[in-house]
Amino acid sequence: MDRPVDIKKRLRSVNDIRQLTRAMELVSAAKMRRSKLQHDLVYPFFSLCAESMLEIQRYSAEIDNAFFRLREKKEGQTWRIGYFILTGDQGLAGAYNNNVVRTTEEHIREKILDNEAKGLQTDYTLYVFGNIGRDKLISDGYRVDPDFSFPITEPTYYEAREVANIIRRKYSAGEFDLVYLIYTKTDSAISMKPIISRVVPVNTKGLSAFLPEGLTDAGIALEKGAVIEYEPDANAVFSFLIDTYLNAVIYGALVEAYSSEQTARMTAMDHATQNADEMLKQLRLRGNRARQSLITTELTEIINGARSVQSID
Amino acid sequence: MSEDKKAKTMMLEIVTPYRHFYEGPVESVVLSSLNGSVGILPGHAPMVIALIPGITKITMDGQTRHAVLTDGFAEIGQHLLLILCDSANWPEEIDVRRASDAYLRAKERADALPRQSEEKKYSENSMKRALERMNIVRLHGTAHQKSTLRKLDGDTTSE
Repeated sequence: MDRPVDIKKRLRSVNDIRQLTRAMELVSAAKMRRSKLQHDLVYPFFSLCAESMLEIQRYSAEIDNAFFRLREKKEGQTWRIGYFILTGDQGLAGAYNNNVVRTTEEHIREKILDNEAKGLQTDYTLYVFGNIGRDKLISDGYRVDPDFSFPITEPTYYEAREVANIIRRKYSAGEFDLVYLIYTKTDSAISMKPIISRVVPVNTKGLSAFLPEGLTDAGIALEKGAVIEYEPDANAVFSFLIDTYLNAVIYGALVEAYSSEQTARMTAMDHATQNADEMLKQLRLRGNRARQSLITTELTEIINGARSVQSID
Repeated sequence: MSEDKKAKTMMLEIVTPYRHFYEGPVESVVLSSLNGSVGILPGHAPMVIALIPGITKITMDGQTRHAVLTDGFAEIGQHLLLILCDSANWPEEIDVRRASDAYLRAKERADALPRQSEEKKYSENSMKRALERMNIVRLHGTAHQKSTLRKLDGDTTSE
């Protein structure tokens, strides 16, 4: 039989946890609202940038930029891949971190098998945002760059530019042949999934996916058949375009990932609070039963005691 | 310029990652490109320009406003002059002290790096951004901003 004192203790601790999860839910909700706002602000910039790239590329077939060309590999050569993985600095966000880590591991495995089948070798390095994902990937035995450390909370364009600079430098120097970005995208509050997108070489087909529907055949600023001039020249302009585009992609992903993390945490904490409520309800019931049965026992004892005293008389 | 040409305007749109900086009809725009200043009037031929940090002049109704834009590009089309850049600010929005600090920090970093390195280029780019921000304050800032800048300048020269 439960003792009412024990149940009271458990009630108190569950209630404390409930307060905690509730507070975290509210904090995440506020952070999520803020990051959603940030996301809405960056979106026009990002989609206009993608649109301009497509537009300019269509009008100028002669542009031959290293950031657009997929390098070719012969048998026995190595593909060098850089992964930029966006996870959270904190746990308690449901499956958020685990999903990203799992997706990464699957993708690496597939790439290696795929390349092996073609007689190619694979060399990869992981650049991880967020401690949770980094620790998990290191303990799983993946090659993670230990010096790469960027905060994931409240991303700024400035940080994105630094990351884009790293990618640009390593890609130009031949340290990367491919760069993938893995982050979580939120479609709605209930559906979020990790996505893998290739940053460089730029995937022109994938680009149009970023545009709002019906805008694939852009032409926002330019009319069809126009001849475009470049100042100072096409390739210089294009490298500026790539710079801005890379910055925008990274920044967009950071904002998206941060906002997804907050959404995930909010949902997880909401569930935790509901579970705590359920538990409290049952504990109160059990507590009341225990108290009532205690009273009943005491009453029986008193009555029996009184009866036996009477019978002695 | 004839009267009817003067009346013509074009749409200008300036977008940055943090905000929609400008949207509206303008009479002329002067941008700072990789090769120096470029003036654009309505009816300009389609063109794409690489932008470096610098002061942009926007003229509408005979009034000229100045803004400082950083790296990006401008797309001139038949309907629209679209500018996408890393940041855009009116002079009165600039934090003089921050710009001055950023300049000194970037300069220190750039001086410590070997010549011709990629990193040095980035530092020099930050230097240029901060310098342009201070420049626009010097030319078009408020009286208070100007006096702050003069004080900061005094500090750095006396060092």
